[in-house]
Amino acid sequence: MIVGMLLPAYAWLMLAVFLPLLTMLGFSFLKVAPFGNHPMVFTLEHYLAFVRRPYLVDVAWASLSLGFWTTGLCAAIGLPAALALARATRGRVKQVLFLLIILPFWTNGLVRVFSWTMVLRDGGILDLVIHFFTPHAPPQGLLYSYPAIIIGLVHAYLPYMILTCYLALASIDGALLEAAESLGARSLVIFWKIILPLSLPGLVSGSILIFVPVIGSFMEPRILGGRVGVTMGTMIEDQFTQAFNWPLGAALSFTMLAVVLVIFGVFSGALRNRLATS
Amino acid sequence: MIPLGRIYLLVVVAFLYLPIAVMVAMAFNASELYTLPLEVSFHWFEELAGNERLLAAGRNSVMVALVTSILATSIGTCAGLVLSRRKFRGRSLLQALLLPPIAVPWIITGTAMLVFFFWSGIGRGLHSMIIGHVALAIPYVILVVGTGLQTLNEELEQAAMSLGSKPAHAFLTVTLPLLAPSIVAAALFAFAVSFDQFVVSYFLATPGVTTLPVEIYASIRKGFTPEINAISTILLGVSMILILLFARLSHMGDVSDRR
Amino acid sequence: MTAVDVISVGKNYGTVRVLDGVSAHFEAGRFTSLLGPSGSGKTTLLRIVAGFVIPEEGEVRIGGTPVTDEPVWRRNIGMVFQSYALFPHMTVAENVVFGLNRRGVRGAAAAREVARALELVRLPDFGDRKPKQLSGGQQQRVALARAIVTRPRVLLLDEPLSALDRRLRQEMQVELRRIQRESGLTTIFVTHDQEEALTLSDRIAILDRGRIVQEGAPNEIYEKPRTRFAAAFLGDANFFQGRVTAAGIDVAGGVLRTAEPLPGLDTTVTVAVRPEKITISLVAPVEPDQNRLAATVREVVYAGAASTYLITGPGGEDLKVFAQNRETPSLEPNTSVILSWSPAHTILVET
Repeated sequence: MIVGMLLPAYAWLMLAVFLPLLTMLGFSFLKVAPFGNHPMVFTLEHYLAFVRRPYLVDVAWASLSLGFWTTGLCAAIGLPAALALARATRGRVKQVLFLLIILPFWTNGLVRVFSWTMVLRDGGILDLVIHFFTPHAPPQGLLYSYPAIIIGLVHAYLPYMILTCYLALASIDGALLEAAESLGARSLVIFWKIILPLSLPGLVSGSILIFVPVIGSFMEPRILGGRVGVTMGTMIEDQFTQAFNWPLGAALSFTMLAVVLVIFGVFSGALRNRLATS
Repeated sequence: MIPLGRIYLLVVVAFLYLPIAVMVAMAFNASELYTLPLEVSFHWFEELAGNERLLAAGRNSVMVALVTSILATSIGTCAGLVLSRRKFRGRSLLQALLLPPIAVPWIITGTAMLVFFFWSGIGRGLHSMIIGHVALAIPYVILVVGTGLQTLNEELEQAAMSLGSKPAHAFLTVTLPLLAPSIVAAALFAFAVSFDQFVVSYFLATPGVTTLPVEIYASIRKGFTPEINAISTILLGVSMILILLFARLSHMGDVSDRR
Repeated sequence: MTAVDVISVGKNYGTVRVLDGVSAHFEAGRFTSLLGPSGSGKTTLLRIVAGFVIPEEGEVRIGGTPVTDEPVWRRNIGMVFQSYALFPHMTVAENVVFGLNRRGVRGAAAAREVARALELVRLPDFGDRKPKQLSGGQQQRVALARAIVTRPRVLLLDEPLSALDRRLRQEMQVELRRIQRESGLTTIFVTHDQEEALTLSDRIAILDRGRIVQEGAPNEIYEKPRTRFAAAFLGDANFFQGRVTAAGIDVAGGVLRTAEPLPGLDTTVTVAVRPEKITISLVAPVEPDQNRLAATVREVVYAGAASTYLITGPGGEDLKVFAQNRETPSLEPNTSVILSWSPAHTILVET
């Protein structure tokens, strides 16, 4: 009976997720995609692509740096916001604000990225505002630039960080802070020594939740970055839709997956230690 | 300190909604350009009605999302019931297996699906999109139903049994009605996951058979038309309504018996 | 009226032996409490009688018929859970009629039974309300009505009063007893509260770590506890340890006599004395055959009608004496006093 209830779900996941991932893993070791009359030739050359084609290293680096920038900015903006939400608001206001912050996050990501093009392009809102203050400046288009990608990514993933930090902060017992106050600690000290360390799990889980998708993103770099937006994500996408070098795309994907797994491994280990000692 | 915090929050919220507000405003603006004053007009929405490509993509999106929701909710609820209530060996492993669809970057999952479906002959198209979307939605359904189940007092079913109900009857008359809000919430969530899905749909689409997000993307790449604003506004509105409904349903704690 | 028998029941959860060779007879029509600290196995035993837990060894018989293989829904029991477990999406009347419907009783006949049950628990007009509109005490009574309306063979209660505040609890204890007497149901009641057990029960079974330590009527167990655990768990007790001699039990500060036969000479024994059986005085009492010890008062806890005296015995023992404040000897801490009590109240206990 138990097996019967579980079978459909896991069979589906097997078919739609695990088998595809395994197949792609297999593909990554082939020289050429085995369609048509191409024979199956096994090779490691695609995994060695980083060595053979140095520009890939630059691209990888660009992706990682996108990840760091986005995660860092989300943390810098998001933690204070979560703090304000947890401690500076109450009741109805808190609920409404919380919902407002979470809502965009669950709507269509593509549409949100697109909405930024409206703001950032030549003749867009940003341009208008700048011209309002400095009428003689040349047309400002932030679109198709690196900062535009970052803005779009931060905008897309900020709610994640606010959510995880808020959950961590909300679970801090108010009595803890009152005890600290009664022992003579002042606001800044309380923040530094109690609130920040206890919000760390939130920061860490938010960072993982943001860093991983960001290094694989291709939508935001393409739409907001144009020619400048070249990342691992766009490279992989290219292999599958333009260059049709599926094995290379597969190898690149799994290399990225390996990085993701390492990050998970390192951080969940660190997180578990943290939670054990705190 | 506190007023400062509140102001900061409002600034953050403003940032989050700024581009959306602009886009929505432009959708209702008669002019293509940002010239003031803004003239409200439904012009672009009318243009939209004539854009067969976008409309077809919209119909596809809704159809795929509906089917996905039904399939994912049924399959996920069954699994969620067992995973939440029964303890058995291997349960943690099975729960861990639910992570890859969510944790693995969608570009990897999407391209992997493309590779596998192409190679195995399943091919691309709406059917493969459904297969993909359901797989992505199942973990979320299991999570929502599982959480709902946890807030239900286990002793309710036991009470029913002590009064003479066989387990199946106890489930149908006691647990299921109380779980209904969670199941509906999960269905809405699955619909939203599918409706908003871009990456996986992108790789599984074929020319002529696309969903709305994919079509919007293609339009953006080709060149901007204000109709995109209009359709995006509609898309956004639908998503927001779905999520608001979901929030209401999953927070209806006064219907379920809490411990 | 049906009796319940539990015969040599054993249950393990992993490596923990939760119940070990437990046998008990629950008399028909009587109110029996299973009393013990948490982890003693009392709830597990109740659930085994109900059918939610299958024992690894042993048998359960209801009315003489073995039911160990019968599932819960066929055992014809009524159960009240600690959380009440009222169906939140049904009204009070729908909750109460649930069991009747399962047994094929519907319509007007069922409605009559529901009304009767609600009358019995003194909630006659509550049929249309939903559980969340009821107070804790009212929910409890509905749970009770639901359990007894089907006239089950046995009524099982799993710490049903533990969520109520003190006053409500006392009220409900009286109600519960009345309802049980009026319905004549064989009742098994699980609690960790010894006062509650003493008040409600016809018989008490004390459990400790999976075994029944002692079983009997409340006053039997209270006046004659058999083990140190039973003596300390049900009420308060003072313990003295000493060697058996020809004159009695040689303890620090004197020789104690009992009314029971003693084991062989030189055996080490422990005796228990209830706090209310001891008299405190400043001078030795006149009666010759009282047990007598000199001790020092440590603390007096005054409670209006009575006082509790915390006393250090001659061998350093922690003693408690409980006395009504009829003539108050003014006893300050560090006063030397004489404790005296009758040998009949000196109880031999196993350690």
